[in-house]
Amino acid sequence: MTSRIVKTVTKDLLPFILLFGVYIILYGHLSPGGGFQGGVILATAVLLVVVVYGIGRFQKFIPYLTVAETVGVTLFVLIGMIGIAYGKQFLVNFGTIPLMNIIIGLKVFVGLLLMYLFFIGWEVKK
Amino acid sequence: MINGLNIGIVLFLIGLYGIITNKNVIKMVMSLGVMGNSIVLFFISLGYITDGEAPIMTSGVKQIVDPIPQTLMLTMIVINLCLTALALTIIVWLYNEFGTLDMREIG
Amino acid sequence: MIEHLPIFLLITPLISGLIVTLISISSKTEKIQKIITFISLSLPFLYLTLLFQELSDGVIEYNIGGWTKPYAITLVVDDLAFALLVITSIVTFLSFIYSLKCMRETGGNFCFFYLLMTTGLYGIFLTGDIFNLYVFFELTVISSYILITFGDKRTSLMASFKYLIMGSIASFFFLLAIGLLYIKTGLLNIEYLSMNIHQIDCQTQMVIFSLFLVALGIKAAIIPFHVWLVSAHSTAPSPVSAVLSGITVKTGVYIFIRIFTLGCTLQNLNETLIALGALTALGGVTGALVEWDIKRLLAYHTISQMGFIIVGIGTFSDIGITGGIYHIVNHAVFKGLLFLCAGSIIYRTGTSDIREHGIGRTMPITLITYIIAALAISGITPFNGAVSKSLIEASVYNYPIIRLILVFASIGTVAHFSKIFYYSFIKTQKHRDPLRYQEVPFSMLIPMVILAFLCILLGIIPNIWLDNFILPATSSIIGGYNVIQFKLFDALLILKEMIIVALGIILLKVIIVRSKDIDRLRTFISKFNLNICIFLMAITLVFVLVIFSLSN
Repeated sequence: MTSRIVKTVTKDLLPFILLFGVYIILYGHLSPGGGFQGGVILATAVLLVVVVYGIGRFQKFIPYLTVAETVGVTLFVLIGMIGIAYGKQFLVNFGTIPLMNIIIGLKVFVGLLLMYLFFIGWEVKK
Repeated sequence: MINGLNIGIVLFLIGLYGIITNKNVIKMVMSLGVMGNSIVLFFISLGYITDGEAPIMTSGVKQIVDPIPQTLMLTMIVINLCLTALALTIIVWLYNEFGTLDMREIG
Repeated sequence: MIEHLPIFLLITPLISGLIVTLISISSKTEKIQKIITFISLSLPFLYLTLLFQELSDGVIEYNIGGWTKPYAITLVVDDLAFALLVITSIVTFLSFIYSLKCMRETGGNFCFFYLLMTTGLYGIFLTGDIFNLYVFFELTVISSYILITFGDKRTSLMASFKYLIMGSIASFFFLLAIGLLYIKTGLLNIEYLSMNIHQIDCQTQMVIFSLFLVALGIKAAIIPFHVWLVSAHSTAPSPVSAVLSGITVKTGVYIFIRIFTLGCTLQNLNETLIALGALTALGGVTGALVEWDIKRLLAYHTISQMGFIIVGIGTFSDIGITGGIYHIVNHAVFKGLLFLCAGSIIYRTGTSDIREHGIGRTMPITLITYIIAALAISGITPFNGAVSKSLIEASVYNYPIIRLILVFASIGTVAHFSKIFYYSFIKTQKHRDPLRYQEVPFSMLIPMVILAFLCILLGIIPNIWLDNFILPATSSIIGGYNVIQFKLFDALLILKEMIIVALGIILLKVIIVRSKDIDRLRTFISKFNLNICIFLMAITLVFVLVIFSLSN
């Protein structure tokens, strides 16, 4: 996984894959796609870099990623509760669906990345 | 006769056969994946209406396929992902403890 | 704010779990996490008292997202859901207090997964939409796979893996049944489904019922599908075992009550369920004959008591369903108490084999609470087991074979609990140092005493509980309200119980004397591993389909 061709192509393709993932998240409420699908594409892009370039540079991000994941889910539930403050039901839609898509997209991205980093880290330690 | 519903049920039974007769633990998890995807196929072909189009509300669309099973399947795919990740974590842990991947030797 | 109570009941454990995870990253001490978990597990009591006053006006419904009734995901609180929510909150709260001292070295993750499992359990009993039920089932069950692995690693990992495979098969069969229901009726709301299910043609109703039977049979541990339960509940840590055996096993029966008792027109549905229930009751007790591990014994008795509940509910009469629901509540209380007692004994002696316990008189409070729980599960009169067991046995009065099988199951129950009592508590081992076996710490004693008190309370004044909680639950399923009163200290009942106790002690003598035959039976039973039982499961599915197609 460390040949020169693979490294160069990954380095040049990475912004386009990230852009495509962000596009699928943002257009999720009008066309096929949405939070989960876009999040998986973003995670795949970063995982490609991890597989090609090795895990060493990513080890120091793990605590920050865990915090980001938990903050994401808490924000989702709290935005759902804003509806209660205005007198209507939980998870009422008053223009917040794109915002929730973005939160879910970020959470799925971080979650899948953490899952893979833990699996690879386990293997290396043994 | 060959439509999504029947192929879904056939794949489900193939997955079930895979879980019963495999000794290797990772192959059992793969059979679980086959079963999950067969349910996805089954559900999506439930909502098919002949000559319907994809459920995207652009102008000039007359008849759309039922979008509810597709929504349910999005949720189910996410839950299956979590289940597979958990099963593989338990398998790595088992391998660290026992040193073998054979179901009959471990338990 | 009052009308948002159902959603607060769900959000409180979820947000507390997330806050606990955030705190556990920054600080290394566990005190704050335990305080937050304690607060969030005691807030549902406040919500439930407010809901009880609201409930007398009628069923409480809450549509998520502001949509209207058939298209929205609704949260429904009626009397049946309310009874089960109360017992869930009591058992999870008390098990958490027990786990404060018992689970020392685990870190913040235990509280997070425990709160996630509590969220899932509340969600199962609150929801009114069948796919939402699948989502909450999965949430509960995935958290319990993780919680089981907190026990002793060599045995609990394989037990958790087998439970994972069986639970996933159950979920997939459940999804197939949901798909068939959706394609025939176009509805996903449980209330509308139970009204319209008799409009489906009989062939499809047969297939749907068989698929539900497999799915719920695995979750509720009916006999060909029970393989996962003994290992999973016995290798989990004790407070987790109490919640799993008390509540999670019952969720299968709950969804069955919701969908099928209203409009099903299959002809042999009653008799299939009663036969399977009786087989389960007897099979659980038979499997426990060969065991000497205390938690495995308790897990086998869970299977047996679930057989009683299924017999009670399978009759579809109001006495039967009342007995079944009351037995669900009672079983959560006394099985939770039994697992907590077993956990205390294991905490002090370090082994779970009952032939090596021999504590004697050194743990008096554990002894007294164990006696109360053992008398309750055997069905002796002042305690709560007697009320529900006699209601269930009264509901099958026209099937004499089933009554005989249930009596045999009761005799076996008495025998096994006397066995545990004799070996663990009476027989002191002379070479032990008595100073080591003091009583367990105070925070582990409080839940046991409270649960024992509940056992006595539910048994002495059954008519109050029947009128306010259980009979409204039955009438929300069947419709119509028959007043059922239970006469305490009925002479015939006490005579029957004395005979069962006497026969049970004779059976205990037989077990102790003929232990070599028992060991041969043990090697025979241990050949039923996972693959053979999944195969038996498929055969049962085919068999049930054949029975229905022959009778319709």
